[in-house]
Amino acid sequence: MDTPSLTEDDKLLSEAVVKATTSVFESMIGIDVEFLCSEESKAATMNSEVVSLISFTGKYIGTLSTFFNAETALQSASGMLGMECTSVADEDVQDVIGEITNMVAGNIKTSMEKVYGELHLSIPIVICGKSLSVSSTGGASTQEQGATSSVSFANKESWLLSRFKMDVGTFTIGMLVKKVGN
Amino acid sequence: MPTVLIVDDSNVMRKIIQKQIKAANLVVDEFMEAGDGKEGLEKVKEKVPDLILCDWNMPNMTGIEFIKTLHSTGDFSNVPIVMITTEGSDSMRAEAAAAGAKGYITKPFTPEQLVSELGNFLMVS
Repeated sequence: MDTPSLTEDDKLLSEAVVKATTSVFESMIGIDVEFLCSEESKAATMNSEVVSLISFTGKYIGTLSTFFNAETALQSASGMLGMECTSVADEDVQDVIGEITNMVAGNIKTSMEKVYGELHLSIPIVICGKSLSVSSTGGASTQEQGATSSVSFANKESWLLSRFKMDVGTFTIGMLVKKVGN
Repeated sequence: MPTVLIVDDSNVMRKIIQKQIKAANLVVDEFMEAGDGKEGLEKVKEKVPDLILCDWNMPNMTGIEFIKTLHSTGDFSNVPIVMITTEGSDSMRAEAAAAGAKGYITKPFTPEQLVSELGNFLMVS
């Protein structure tokens, strides 16, 4: 597992992300995904065409986000639905991405609760489009801006970004975890 | 042959559960669908299913509220309910069992896991 220069907490989080993500793709989509690396990122901006966010609350708060391009989103949706999907504007495609995010988050939550205590998940939201920007300040908020789809991490915390490879491209799972009261 | 009611707020997940049940060769005559616990109660009153598969986190009425409400109604207290949810903690499993759930499946799941959990309620062809 390629996790250079991560803290021990982030290494554990990365392992939970990899385990949950590979399990979801193998069990529900029938696709083997290859884990590439996990790294910390501050104030990064990512290009993406389909973004899904789910928030968790408890003694720790944070956000789990998934970032797909059109190709990886469509291959994921096609695999899960068992039919060819051709547009990320299709409601079923967006539902699939939301469900992937939900399942990955649910599995990570189960692992995290052993360390972080009881956590509660929100219902995932999915955003797609060419003229979309998403900013997160520890929770999740969205706004339209710019000419390309992008995600701006407008906060002082480090995100843990885990990158995965599938046949048609790569996708990223981002996690931001922050202790309440710090 | 049995009727199965799937209660899940995700239209896609309801489709996927049906697809995985078929892939597992579990015999089902008819699938009924509901988008939340309240709609699930209405569906049960229309036609009593042989098995209910229920998500946990749903708007309007959660899965656990659905189980408690259904089981407090004498006519439907014997309908088996299996939770299918992303929530896999021991405390939530215990809460579901205490409410009357007869099984617990965490997403993601394989056809083999479905057979293992649902084999007591559905035949394998």
